[in-house]
Amino acid sequence: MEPARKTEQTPWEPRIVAFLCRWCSYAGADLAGVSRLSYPPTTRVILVPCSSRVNPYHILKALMEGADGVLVSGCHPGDCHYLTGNLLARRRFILLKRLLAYMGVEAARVKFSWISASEGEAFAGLIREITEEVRAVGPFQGFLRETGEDVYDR
Amino acid sequence: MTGSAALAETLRKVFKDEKLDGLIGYAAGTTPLRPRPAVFTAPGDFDAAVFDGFCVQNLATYLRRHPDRRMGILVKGCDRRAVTVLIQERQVAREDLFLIGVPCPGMLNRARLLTEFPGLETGGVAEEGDTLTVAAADGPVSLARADYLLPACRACRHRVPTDVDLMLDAPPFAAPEADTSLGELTGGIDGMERRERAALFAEELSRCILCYACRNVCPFCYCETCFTDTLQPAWMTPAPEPNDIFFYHFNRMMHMSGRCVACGSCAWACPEQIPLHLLFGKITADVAELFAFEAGLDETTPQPMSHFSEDDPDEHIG
Repeated sequence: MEPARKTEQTPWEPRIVAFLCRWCSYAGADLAGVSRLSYPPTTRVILVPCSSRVNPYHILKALMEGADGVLVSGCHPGDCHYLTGNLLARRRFILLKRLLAYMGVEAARVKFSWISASEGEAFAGLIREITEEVRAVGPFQGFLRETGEDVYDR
Repeated sequence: MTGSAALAETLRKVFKDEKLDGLIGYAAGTTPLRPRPAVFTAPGDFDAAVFDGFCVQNLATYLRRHPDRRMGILVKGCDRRAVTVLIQERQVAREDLFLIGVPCPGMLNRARLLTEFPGLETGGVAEEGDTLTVAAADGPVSLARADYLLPACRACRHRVPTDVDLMLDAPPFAAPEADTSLGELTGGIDGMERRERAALFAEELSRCILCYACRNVCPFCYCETCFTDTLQPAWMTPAPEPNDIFFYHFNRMMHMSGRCVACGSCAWACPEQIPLHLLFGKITADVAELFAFEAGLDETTPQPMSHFSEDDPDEHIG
């Protein structure tokens, strides 16, 4: 993905990579589209079999390669197609989110959510919300860049 | 106890009596204040055995390298807990091991001593009770042992190994038990502004050269192919670029969650003295807080990351 850069011609728009589980959230996104709901065109959807398929590698790599925000969405607890995938993912994601915040990454950059196949409206609302949150924190500059000086030029 | 004849004799006796194929312990190293791990395989080897306040490295790391052998291993509290985790993960079998426990006196901060007393050699720090006598350039200096403990050791609550086959006498030197916790060690950072936290880690991790000493020394980094080494997909570029450094440390910590016994070997091994206890301390404290789990205490409690509860916290979902 080309890095999003603010130019005079095109103002910066958030780029959000959305990992959607194929059984619930992807269908929810589909419903939002079929229902002709409008939401900001800021997301790039990646279809995954289950929210527990999403590894911390994927989330970090998306940010490293130019995304400004990442959304991971799966089935509500109890609705997982694989019964317990989302519950295992939930444990992983809370540690991930806390460690990211601890190391100084803005909390708004990574978001987790449960969206079912019938929640097209909720999906559109979620994208509107995350787009505004990411817009508020601005473009992602890369990890370990926020120093007083450029320690890498020493 | 450094290089004491009594230690050599005890280990030699165990080696013979238990008909061990090898015994993993510590021997004098070649750099100041850094004993090296040693695998003793013959009765004559044991004269080199040492145990002092610089035997930081977790010896459980070496167990997987000797499959199908009956191995003895010298264990402090953290080594013992690492062995438990390895047994849980079916990397070693308890019946192949002979565990020789040693009540840990709390390990010393080699880097700090060498900075404050340049030119210090092995043997330059005499340990007695709760004091250290350092052979400084301008005469001996007395220090409180508790002030020179490694961060992980200051927070350690499990110094004495449990369920061992033979327990050695406590060494004649020790610091008082924990005066802090992993949560306290990292709590200061939690309280900072986000920008301060980001700047702190950017500064500390800027020294990382991706040498992977922290990975290689870790008892739980035993994957045949590490994510750092795969080319298909290439998660990382091999150059120490900030994104890659972050990716490496962050993901290593994710892999440590629910497994790390906070032995501090990674921080000890780091040639750049990056305070890695801030990372493993955070993940360990979070696992304890969220899932009420401490690694390596009990073989039968399932590891939290291979497990879930319907009542797990969901403050992060929304």
